[in-house]
Amino acid sequence: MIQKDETKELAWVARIAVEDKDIPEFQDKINQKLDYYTVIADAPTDGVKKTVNPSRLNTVLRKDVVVPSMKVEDALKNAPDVYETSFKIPKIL
Amino acid sequence: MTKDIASFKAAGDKAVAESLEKIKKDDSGIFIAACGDAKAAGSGPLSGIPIAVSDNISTKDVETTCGSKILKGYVPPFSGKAVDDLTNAGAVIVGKTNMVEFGILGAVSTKGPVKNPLDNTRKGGPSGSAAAVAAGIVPAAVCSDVGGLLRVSASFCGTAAFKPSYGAVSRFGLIYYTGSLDQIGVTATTVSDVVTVMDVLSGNDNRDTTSLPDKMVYSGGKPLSGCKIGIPEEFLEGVSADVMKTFDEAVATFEKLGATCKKFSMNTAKYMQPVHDIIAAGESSAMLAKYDGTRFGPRAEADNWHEMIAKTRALFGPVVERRIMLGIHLLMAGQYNDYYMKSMQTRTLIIEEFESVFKEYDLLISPTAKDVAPELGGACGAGCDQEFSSYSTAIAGVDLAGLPAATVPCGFVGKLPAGLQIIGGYLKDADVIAAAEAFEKAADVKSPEAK
Repeated sequence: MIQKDETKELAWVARIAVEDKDIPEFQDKINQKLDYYTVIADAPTDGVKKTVNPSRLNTVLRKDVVVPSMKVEDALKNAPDVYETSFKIPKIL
Repeated sequence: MTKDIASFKAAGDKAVAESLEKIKKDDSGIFIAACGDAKAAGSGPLSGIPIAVSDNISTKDVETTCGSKILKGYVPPFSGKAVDDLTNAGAVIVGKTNMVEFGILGAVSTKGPVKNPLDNTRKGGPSGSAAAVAAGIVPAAVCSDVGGLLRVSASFCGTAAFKPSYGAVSRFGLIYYTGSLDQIGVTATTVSDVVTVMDVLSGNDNRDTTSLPDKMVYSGGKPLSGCKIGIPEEFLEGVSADVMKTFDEAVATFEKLGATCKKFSMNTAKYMQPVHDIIAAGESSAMLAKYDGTRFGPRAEADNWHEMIAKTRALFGPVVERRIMLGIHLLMAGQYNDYYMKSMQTRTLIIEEFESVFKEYDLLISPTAKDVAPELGGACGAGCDQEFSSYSTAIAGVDLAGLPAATVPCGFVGKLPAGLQIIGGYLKDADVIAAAEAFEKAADVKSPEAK
């Protein structure tokens, strides 16, 4: 189960601004889920391989050939702010 | 109220214009936006047919929001493969159907809930796709399906729907939140119309690494006579008495058609919903990470980059925010082995048990949802973290194993329909379609008003 300070930390790691007043509700609902998940603890998984997706395909690499990709102007069209051919953001530090 | 593809074809040039008119007047939360015009109709098997797509399928030059504030104003510079396939077949995309935020069951759309065309005091499901068909606005709608986004909506609105085997339809341009579970499917008035659209959508696409190499064939499935149908008892747990009655009648119909139906128990059934939930949470924390106000969507004002991202991501609804935070927690070093790795291994056990079951049975059946459409508002009216578990264990199992599944109406509880889910083995899509068509014809389910 997660504590209140861990919930705040989780919000920061997720980069989601959660107001302090909402933290107890977030903590409670996340803990309800964690409690619900305890049912899988008894699944007999020793030595069982993981399944990443249900495709039964073997991965086949295609030839490394350059093909046309999205135009720069299309890629920038939805950006809130741009500088020449780049996405512009506020200062990081 | 529903109208099939043939009826829309018969309406000729007016079909698209009439659909658009209805979408513009929609006050039931079925659509997020109208788009397209009659002049866009091309030639092909869907020539001049208006089709709706869910708002998480990219449409070039048409706003695509996934029902979320965080994608407000996002106009894709390209269309999804499904959209290109539909327009190349002559169809006109007339609208983007409503959906719970990013397709996460229990989350809330910016457009609010979908009202059910059969009873506007009830929900039309987590997506507006089936409601769009049930209201007679379009003959078919294309929608992604994870957790029953498509199938549960079809069950609530009394339409037919189909989710294919994993990889049958390219997801290029689909904005999914859980890549190992989500697939694109179709809902329509009849199974035959579903197949008409599925035929257009299926096929290999090198832009989707999970795309199957060969086009899926939906004809030539195994006839029901002599068919062995299994009913996992765990798929019936929590089903309401009224829905159970419709399911029992469906079993009788299958037996009249020459199939044998037998109940049995699945050892891994109890793990299906929690494993689905854990995998979906883990994947969503990664797949929704790109919504940070840098490259698309709105951006919150802030002095520095980290604050900008955090404030921008507060545009997610609270259910989605908790899902992302939960996913990050599950993927952290201290929890990873107990939850995420354990779920991926348990998923293997679930797939292996399905493979073993399909050596004995040709098909499995279950109610599509545990109950008929719930009331608007209600327990999950303002968002609900547990809504998924109220639907069906079978829905989760199908998603985890990448199996093909259809839903067809199997009866009515008052004026509300109940759905029957027909599940096939991996790549046995044609068998599911054959059974769904035969059942649909034999059961001839009609609403009390239509009788």
